[in-house]
Amino acid sequence: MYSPIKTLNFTGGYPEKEVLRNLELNLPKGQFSALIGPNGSGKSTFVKYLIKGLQPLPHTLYLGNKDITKIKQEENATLISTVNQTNHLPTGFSVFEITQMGQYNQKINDKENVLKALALTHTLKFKDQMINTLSIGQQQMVLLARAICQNTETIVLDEPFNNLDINHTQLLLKILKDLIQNENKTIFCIMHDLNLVLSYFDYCFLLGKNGKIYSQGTPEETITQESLKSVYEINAKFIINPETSKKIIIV
Amino acid sequence: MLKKYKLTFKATTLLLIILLVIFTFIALNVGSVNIKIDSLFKEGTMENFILKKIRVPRIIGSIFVGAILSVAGVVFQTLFKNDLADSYLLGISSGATFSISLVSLLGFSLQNLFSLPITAFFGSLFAAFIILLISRRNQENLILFGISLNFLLSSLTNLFVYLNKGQRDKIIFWSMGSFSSMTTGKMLVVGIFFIITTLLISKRHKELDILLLDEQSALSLGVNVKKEKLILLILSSLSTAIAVCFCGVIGFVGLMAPHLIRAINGPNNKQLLILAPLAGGLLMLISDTFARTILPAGELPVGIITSFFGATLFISIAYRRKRNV
Repeated sequence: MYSPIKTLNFTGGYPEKEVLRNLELNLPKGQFSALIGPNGSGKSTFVKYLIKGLQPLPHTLYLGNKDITKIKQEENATLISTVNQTNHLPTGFSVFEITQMGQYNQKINDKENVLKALALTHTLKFKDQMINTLSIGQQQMVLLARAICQNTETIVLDEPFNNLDINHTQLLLKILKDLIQNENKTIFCIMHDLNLVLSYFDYCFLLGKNGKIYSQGTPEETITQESLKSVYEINAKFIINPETSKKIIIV
Repeated sequence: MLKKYKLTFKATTLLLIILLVIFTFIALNVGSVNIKIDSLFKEGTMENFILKKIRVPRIIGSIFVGAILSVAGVVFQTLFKNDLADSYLLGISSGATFSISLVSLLGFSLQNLFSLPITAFFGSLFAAFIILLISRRNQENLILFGISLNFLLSSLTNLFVYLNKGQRDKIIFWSMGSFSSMTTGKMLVVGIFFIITTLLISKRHKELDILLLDEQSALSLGVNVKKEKLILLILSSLSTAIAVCFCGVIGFVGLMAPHLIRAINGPNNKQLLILAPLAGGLLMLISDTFARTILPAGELPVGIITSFFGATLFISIAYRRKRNV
């Protein structure tokens, strides 16, 4: 079966510490998926592999049907774009210029596409403002616009809802859902807020402390009293949201 | 809508070119011998000889050297994400004088127009790699390391020049810089290298912009960070070597020119790589014109003038910034 990100017996980490072991992950195409797991379970490390910041063993990590070790950096950026957790944004660049950097991989200067990406993330009104004058939430939206500009099948976001207020959280959720529906994107988020995952996501991978996938499936199936006990070592209870009939964790 | 910067790219370019032309004419006219500019067209006279063989190479040469140092400055500032970086302050210039003084102490003659730049290049590249390795471990104190490396390499340079009998009087030339030995040949070599390295660097203006972001973002956008940094480091070390090998270490121009342009026109590297060399050439021309006319007899090393203004700017930037010095 085709999947935008696929791992086969993937092992990864740093020389001094192996973080991910025998990872088997098939990201479902065209869905809203989450990667969850405790701190230090290797979620952000996995993103580093996806952008070739770390080099995996051959035949263990595939983007589309291609072995990532055989993909050049520039081509990699046409398959996967990311919105990272920490960003250094240089002073003196406008929102438009920062977004346009997303077109580096395609060797084009397509202004309309940049404007379209900004419109999709509700940041078109800031296009001539300096990036550093925006709030964290607004910057996050611009960085998503830059990822959209890369024109990739998959967008990976590393804890995108951190530092967002409730208004921006709802806005980002809506934008991501729209991208899946209207632009045929696959969205893969690293998440800590399990209630958001339960309420909004289609699919979910739970990383255990040993660096293996503990369970996967719909959030409802994956996030259970038993799995939270075993992976996060907490005793959680659930209530049902009467509006959406989705589960909510109460600790 | 708020206007981004004080001047547009076109206005800044035009202004700098006009200033360059004006100062070139002034520089042609002033000097220890009073010469009218029309002597340039009177073959056979002494005035014509001075203009053609001494003043023109020196003036054009100083513009090229200022320009090439500014391009190197732009690249170093981007590579190390530090607007105080410059070939002088990182010790890369003294890397070049270090290898020149060492090789000539060992008894090799460096009279040839190409053996000098090549020797200088190895030294500047050596220093640049040390700085690159340090920057991977400790980005915060990079300039401090750079200044220390500069002291270390220039003290070794001075030692080697001092030990090399008959060269002792050249210590001032190597450590403070001078255009007094500029010739038409040297001017042409600097000019050719300036054009080649600047074109090669300008081709990478998008990569330079993206390298100003963090490494993860640059990788994610498709920039092969390690490869691009290596290429840019080699090109900027080469630029530094070419400037230093003919006229010694002239500090701070590579810091002042890009800084001035960023303040007027913003950090966009495509435009910066056109404007900064214009501004650097202008600054160097003005500094050298002062250097050779300010004393009633003889001349000052040009590095004294650039360091005076450059260090003042350095202090004011560092004071405002508080961190990362």
